[in-house]
Amino acid sequence: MQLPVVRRTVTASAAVGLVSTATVVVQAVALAHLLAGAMPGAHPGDRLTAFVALGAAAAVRGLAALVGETLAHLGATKAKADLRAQLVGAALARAPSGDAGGPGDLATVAGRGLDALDVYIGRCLPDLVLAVVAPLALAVAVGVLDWISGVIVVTAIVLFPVFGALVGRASLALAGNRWRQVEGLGRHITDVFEGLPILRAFDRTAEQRRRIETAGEALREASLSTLRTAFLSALVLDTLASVSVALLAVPLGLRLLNGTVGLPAALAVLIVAPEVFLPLRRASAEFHESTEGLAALGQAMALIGPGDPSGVGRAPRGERRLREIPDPVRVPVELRAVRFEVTGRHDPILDGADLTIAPGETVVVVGPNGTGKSTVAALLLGFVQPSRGAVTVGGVDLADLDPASWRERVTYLPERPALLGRTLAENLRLADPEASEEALVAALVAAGAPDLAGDLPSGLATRLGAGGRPVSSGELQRIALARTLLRRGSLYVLDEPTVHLDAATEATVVTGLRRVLEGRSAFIVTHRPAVADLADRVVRLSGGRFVPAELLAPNGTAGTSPEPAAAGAGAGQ
Amino acid sequence: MTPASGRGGGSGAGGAVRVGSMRSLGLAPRRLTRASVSGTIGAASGIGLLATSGWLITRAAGRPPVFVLSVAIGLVQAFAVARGIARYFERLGVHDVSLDLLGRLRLRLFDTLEPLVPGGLGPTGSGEVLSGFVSDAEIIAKAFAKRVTTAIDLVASIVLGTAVALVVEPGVGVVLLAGAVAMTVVALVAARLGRAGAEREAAARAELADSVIDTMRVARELVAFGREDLVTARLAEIRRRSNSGAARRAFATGIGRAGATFTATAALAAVVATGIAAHDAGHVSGVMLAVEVFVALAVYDQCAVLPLVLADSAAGRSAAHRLWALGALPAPVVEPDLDAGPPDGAAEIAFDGVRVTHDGTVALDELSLRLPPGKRVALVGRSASGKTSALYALLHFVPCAAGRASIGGVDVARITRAGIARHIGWVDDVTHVFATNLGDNLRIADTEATEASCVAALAAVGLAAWFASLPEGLSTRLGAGGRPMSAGERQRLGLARALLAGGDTLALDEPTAHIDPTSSADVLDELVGATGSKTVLVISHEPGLDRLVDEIVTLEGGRVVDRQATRRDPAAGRPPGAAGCSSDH
Repeated sequence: MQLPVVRRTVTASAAVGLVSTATVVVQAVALAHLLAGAMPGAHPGDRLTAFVALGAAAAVRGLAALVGETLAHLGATKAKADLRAQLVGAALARAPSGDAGGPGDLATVAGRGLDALDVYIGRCLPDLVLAVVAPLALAVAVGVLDWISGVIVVTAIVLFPVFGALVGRASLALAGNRWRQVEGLGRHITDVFEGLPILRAFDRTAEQRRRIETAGEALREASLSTLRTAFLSALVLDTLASVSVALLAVPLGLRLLNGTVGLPAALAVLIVAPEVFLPLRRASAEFHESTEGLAALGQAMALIGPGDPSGVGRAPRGERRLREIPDPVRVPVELRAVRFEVTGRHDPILDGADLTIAPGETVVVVGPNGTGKSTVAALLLGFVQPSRGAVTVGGVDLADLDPASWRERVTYLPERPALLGRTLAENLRLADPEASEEALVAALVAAGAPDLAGDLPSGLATRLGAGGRPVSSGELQRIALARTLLRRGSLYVLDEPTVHLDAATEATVVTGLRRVLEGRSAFIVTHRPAVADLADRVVRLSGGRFVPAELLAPNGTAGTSPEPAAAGAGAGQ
Repeated sequence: MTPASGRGGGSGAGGAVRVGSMRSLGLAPRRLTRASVSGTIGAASGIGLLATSGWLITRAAGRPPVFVLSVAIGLVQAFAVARGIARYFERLGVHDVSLDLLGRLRLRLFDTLEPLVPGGLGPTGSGEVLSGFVSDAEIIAKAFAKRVTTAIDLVASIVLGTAVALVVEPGVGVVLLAGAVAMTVVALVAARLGRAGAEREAAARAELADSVIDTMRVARELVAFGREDLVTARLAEIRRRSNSGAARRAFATGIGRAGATFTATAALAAVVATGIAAHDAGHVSGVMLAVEVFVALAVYDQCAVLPLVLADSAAGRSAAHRLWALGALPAPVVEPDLDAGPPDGAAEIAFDGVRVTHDGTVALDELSLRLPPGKRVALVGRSASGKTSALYALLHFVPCAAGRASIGGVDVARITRAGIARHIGWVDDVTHVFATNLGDNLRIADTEATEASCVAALAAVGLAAWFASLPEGLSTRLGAGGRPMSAGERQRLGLARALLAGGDTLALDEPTAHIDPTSSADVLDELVGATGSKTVLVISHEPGLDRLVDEIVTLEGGRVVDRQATRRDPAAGRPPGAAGCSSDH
């Protein structure tokens, strides 16, 4: 675990625990002294000193508890925060390549899942350390008071982790199961909830309610039977702890009879005895909870993962990537015999796909869904890498370019654009942080959304999306388009730019696009004739390859002629 | 016509109980009693173990005959074993109670959410938010289990310990009780101190979850635009806020534990002092003094756990806040208990001066529209022009603020959900595919649909080839963890569902918005072909609508701005299976 804060927390807790343990011994000896002094025929002794010792022990123990608990909680919080940041960072890096899992999953792990770490790092780990340190220290103290009792305590202490490990291992496996079961049911229920509108429309909620009921009942049964096993470890350890007290008390009693041990020592041993096992019992009781924490940690680690498939975060070690990025306005962008596979699909999405986007050329790709059009967009952005072949810019492999620098040259409109739950202005400035308000409004107008800034209650400062004003899919698309228009790129990768738009808006948008695409290279995925009209060349994907397409030619401009491209290239040089 | 038959805990006016409070959930008394009895036996054994051991040792110091000790020796061993076993059954019992509670809480949650979607939850109604509610229920149940266990142990220990101490020496008993009460009070006060911090922390965490979801949705853009720094900054801010809350909570927990530890030892000293005074006054023997002290040790050990448990329960409290708040949201519509709807079969659909308001603003106004059986009307207009509001009003998801929507002359407000479902098949613009097999996904529309009719419905929406490619046919698992589907396939599945429902009216909310536009016109054609004589109300931007419908109504700003009667092309409906041909316009 790369969390130094955890080590610090654990060390501090151990130190504090030792101090606390010492006070236990002081307290026990003082108590034993007072009690033994009250026995028939015994001398009361110095009671005042004993009470002072008790008071001092109370104060020191209290202070130790304050320091220990505070440190443990702070440590847990810091560890969680570190992990969360790593999680989000890693997920962000992976998201474009599409293997980051659902946002819901991530939110679950980063939120509730890691909260299980509170108990694990804040309580279980320190207690685990205490469970090792405190009993041994106390065993020494007991041994000093009475060596035979010391031997018994040490034996019990040794047996404890052996039993704990044996029973605990079994319960760990089962808890892993339980976590998965809970997750499974959670997914099922989420699924039903997500579909609730449809269920309601078809009046099928009653059945789904019954399914949730049945699933919940099944989970209850399964959980209980798991708990029956999981709690066995607690049973064994609890019993071992209390039996140890009995095992100490009985021989002490018998030895007191024949006078081989003194009463003060015997009493002190008996008072200390439960304290020996308290940290052990607590640690084992938390073991069950800590398994959830560990499982969450495991999940988090799996999500954070070792590598960085898209190269978004940092460049792979030992590899220098070019920061001098060839400009697509001057050089062609090519797909050379690209093959791309996804797991779970039999045929590769792309297989031997060749495409050249000449400088300044607008290539439109059409064809049914699922033929790999969006994959090509992701390849061009460097979100994913081809399994064979290469994407090149002016002959340089994209994999050799610094991804962030390359993306500065690219303007991308994804298939399903999204908004941050922030203001309209902030959302637009994603594309260009320095854009003036006038520029933002101009972009909205060009994107067919002149009303958007004006109609919103607080204009550009209106908060959108989650927690703000709901946004329809048409508005979302137009905001995304405004982003696209704000950002000057050399290569435009637009995935379904006019989906969700009515014909009038689409016409406005196409006009805006025609203007910005002038002299730039573009790769546009679309189904709309009006957008295809922007093309210098129309292609379609068939069997994982690009083939020329002749369709959607309402005014006869589309075709396979490369002339406009040549013109664009000329302008670029 | 069967008015709302077979509906268990639906959203009928007199029906479901919504989430409201812990108390309203009730507990399984028998399960709770079982857990309490086990817990009490465990607490008694713990006290008995220490008290008997103390007696054994101090008595042995007086060197009595061995047989005097033998009973005590037996008791010590018995208590030792009994305690572990009793605790085991207590734990199981309490978890049984809490899991049972969780089951009921989930169902309440379901009943609470049902009338709120779509239309009643506002913009927060996403799946992630909904699943957040489910995990809240789990947190509540877990916190509950912990609290109940602690309460049982604490009360049993204090009551039993005080009783023993009182019997032995009343003065000591009173001091012991006072000490236990003091420890409890200290723990409660400390917990209160920490609550504010915990709330801040919880708020930051909720924001974190939102932020994570938000980030993941926009991840592609952020990376493409090179703006990952936005996320880092936001995380840092949330982290700062969360940390200040956590620091406060940590300190409060520390104070609580310190106070409890200090109070425990101080109380113990008080017990000893009182006991020694009583002993010196000749009220209690040295042996029984030792017993009193060991009883006090056992009780105070139990009290020392309280601050820890209280610190943990903060999460449960904030989860409860969220759920109970949800329960207070008003349902947009009240569904009638009795179905006044028209008999099955073709019925006229009508809007008469319908107004729909949303958060105080008028989303749709003065919509009057008549769809006699077989008529097809398209609603067109820009986003937020009121098209979907019209559909929701007809489906009775949202109420009419003025005017009425009716089926066969009956106000939809007087028709049950089942009644509306029998008449109108609804297709949303994004079809939810359940994580179950294809057949079950289709049979949501009609539980009794035969395999043949399922296959026919799939064919009608152009999914014949897709279906043929499925190795497991209708048993193919879809949705999360199942076979991936493209947006187009999902929508087609939604259309197939609506057809399968068998109503005589279809309400289609941009059904082809996400379908490959080269074939979306064909799909719409096919739908029309498959609907035959059915009434259709469709929101769409599809070119060529004029060939498919009888009237095109254009909305803007919630009002009708244009009505255009069109001439439907009788040949427009294509036979199923024609999808995939290239578009011709």
